[in-house]
Amino acid sequence: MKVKVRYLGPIRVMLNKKEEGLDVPQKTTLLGLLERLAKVYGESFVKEVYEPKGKIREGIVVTINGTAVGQLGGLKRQLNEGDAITILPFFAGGG
Amino acid sequence: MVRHSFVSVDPDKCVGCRICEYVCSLEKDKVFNPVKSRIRTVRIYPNINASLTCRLCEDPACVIACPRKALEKSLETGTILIDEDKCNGCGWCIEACDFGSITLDPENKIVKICDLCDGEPKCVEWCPEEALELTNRDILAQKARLDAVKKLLKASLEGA
Amino acid sequence: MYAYTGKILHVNVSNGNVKTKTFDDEFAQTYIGGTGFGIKTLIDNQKPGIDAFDPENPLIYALGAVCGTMVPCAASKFGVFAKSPQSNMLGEAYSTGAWGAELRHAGYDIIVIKGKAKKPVYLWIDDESVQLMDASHIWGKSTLETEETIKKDLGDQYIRVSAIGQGGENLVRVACLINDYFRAAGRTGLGAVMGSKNLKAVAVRGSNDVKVASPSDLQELCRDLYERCKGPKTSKYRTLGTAANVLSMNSQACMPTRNFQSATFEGAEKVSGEYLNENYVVKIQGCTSCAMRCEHIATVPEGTFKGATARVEYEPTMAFGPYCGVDRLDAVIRAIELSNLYGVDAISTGIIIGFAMECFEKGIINEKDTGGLALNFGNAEAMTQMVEKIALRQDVGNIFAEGVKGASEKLGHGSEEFAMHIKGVEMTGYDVRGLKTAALGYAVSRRGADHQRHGAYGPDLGGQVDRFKAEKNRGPIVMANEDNYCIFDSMILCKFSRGIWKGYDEIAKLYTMVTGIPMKGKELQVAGERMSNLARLYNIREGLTRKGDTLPPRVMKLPIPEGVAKGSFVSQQDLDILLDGYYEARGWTNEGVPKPERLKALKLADYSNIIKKKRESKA
Repeated sequence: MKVKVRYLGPIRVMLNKKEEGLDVPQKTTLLGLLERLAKVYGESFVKEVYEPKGKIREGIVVTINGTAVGQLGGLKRQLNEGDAITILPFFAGGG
Repeated sequence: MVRHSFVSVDPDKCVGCRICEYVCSLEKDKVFNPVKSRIRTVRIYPNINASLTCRLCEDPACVIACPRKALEKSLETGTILIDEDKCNGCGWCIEACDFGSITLDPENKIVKICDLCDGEPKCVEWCPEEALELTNRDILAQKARLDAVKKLLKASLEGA
Repeated sequence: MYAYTGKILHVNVSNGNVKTKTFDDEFAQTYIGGTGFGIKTLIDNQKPGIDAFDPENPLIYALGAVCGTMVPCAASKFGVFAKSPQSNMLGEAYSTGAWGAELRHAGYDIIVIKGKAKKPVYLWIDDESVQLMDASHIWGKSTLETEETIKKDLGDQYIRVSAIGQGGENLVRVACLINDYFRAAGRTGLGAVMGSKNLKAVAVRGSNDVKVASPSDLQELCRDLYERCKGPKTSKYRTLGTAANVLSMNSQACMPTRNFQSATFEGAEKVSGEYLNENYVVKIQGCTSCAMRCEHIATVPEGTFKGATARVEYEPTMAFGPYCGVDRLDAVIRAIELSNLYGVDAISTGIIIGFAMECFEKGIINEKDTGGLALNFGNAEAMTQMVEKIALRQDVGNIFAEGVKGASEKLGHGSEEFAMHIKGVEMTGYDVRGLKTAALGYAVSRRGADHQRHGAYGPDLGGQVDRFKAEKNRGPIVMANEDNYCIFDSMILCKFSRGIWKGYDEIAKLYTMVTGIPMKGKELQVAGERMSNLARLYNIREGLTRKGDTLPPRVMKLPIPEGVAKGSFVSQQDLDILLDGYYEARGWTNEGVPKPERLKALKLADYSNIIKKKRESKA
């Protein structure tokens, strides 16, 4: 099945890529997708996006079709055909 | 040939955080006080930053200027040694230094000059941007030479 | 005393009287510094109910506990406090740079300025020598010229200056204070309070030592903290900077766009942090003792605004970009530069101009009022010119200089319905219609519309809670965040560094290392709660009721029109659920009034007359 991954912030700069389409097996979980991306992009991707223990790193938000995955069962969430996954940073403004 | 090292700043890397001033005064006087620091940070609007300290001049103007012969260049390390009994805080050396690297202690009125912390300068150790470096004039010249050649080669490559 | 100087400088600019008072360890331990000192000093030194421009309204500077030390990102932070001319409640704003450290080296932790000078003056603090200097030659000058002129006049480039521009002089209600060229104590109109005193600046030079209780322990802790500052928790601030928020917020449909007519901006890519860094950033620099540096200095290389230079952050970019429908970063940079030079808060000024643009498009104001400007959304040139008109009170700028609330009251014609402020303070860069924990944080924020008193967008955007749902359990979340932020604002630690800290216990340990005063994590947490409650008491004293804890009309009536948050808004019922949950968590009455028992436990019993009066007036 086909999914779309969109990158924002430092990850976009790091990968020099705004978005990409991927063909993944049925029942792929979000963790499965991230592991696949980690294989492609290496250690720096793991460091920037998620901790190896299966947790998304603090300060990074992953959304599926706009909803934060914290509300969708986290990394175990199964992906569906046509899902749009966004990996983005968020932080505070000025004081 | 003796190559004396001193603390040099890369203004491209310096962000003007003044951590060098704080660690210097902490190391030497056990307090936080930039005016007691032997290295001082300059910021010029909007974005020029550099920290300056003693550059161990080969023929130091400060030593020549001192009317009481309180300053002397160490043959061993190249640093400027201060005879605290002779220094009366007149400030001729401060005026003579082209880099503003000499300061006057606001309390005991004796001048302060970088002594390189026995060869391991705290400012270099703590600079979070690695903008400070213990280096000597030969190494600096080497770097400048390399940069120049790279630039020249790049130009000739692009020309071809 | 270690770290603290224990000194409070009282200055009356009417007659030049200067008095130095002292405080003891108990005061320090109870109120910590920064926001704690500021709120306490304000409530104790201001006659209840006076106007913000009354000479008796004290303008207060307060330093944090770790000011003037090598603690990362904390050496130079300071807070400014007064009754706000925007909210008529607590005014508070924080700044960094190098000014704060200089004040501590000069020997003071708190300055209280009252009175009104007969002619323009500036305050010159040179260690123990404190004097008022003639400022007639710099009155009417920008913050930059003021800083440079004072340094030149006094003959010392290391003097630090906190000054107002023309905005403060003209009593523009969103006027701010600028120090060290780029740093602003921006929010709640404190520049106008300074201007109302005929005071142009506070210039400081200090030569005193700052001694800490355990220098070697502190150095070891700092070594670790500096390493953490270089790590992943702060990398976003160091690389792309806060402007990277533009695309994040936009993708989540919480980007305030065209005065909250939308929550997504089609031009976001062109005003993004990514675009900014690639095309405009010339240098990233830091404040005193900063081990991470975040100051993205941007310069426009070509075109109409060639040469414009500003420190660019997310909030002003949002305000002068999407909020005004402008997709040109060169104009955003110019508008921020003008805001700094004239000394008006770049966030509020952008929000006001977005509001003015909607007034223009709806025909409430026209080209005659604007002095010929076609003030449509997206008109970048007109936007930059409006900054000047507001700061100088020219044409319709005279009305908008009163802020969104004041201007809408003057303009009428239904403009109140799209006047985006809370308690008189303009909104900031989060569309809280689809961020309901943050909506609560904004509604109860003690300084009006604000993300920095609570950071409650965190759990919403992070997915820890359902951001579209109003639940009572958001109360304890907002309370915990507020009390935690009180401690950051009293130590004062940079909030950009908050990811590196391991909770109250570590901060308490740091506090003791620096001050020598015993402190436990739990006690710090209680101190945070104390500050939140004291601020509430102050606001109640100045007239706040439950009704004041509200959200702008558009947040409560107009659903987000598109994007992933489409259809979301905060109904009155939602707001009531959120407020009930918050008051309950705080142990306040359902009118939002603290109870005597809790006040006693928080060592605030001295202020129970405020809640007594409240009950009597109700009866």
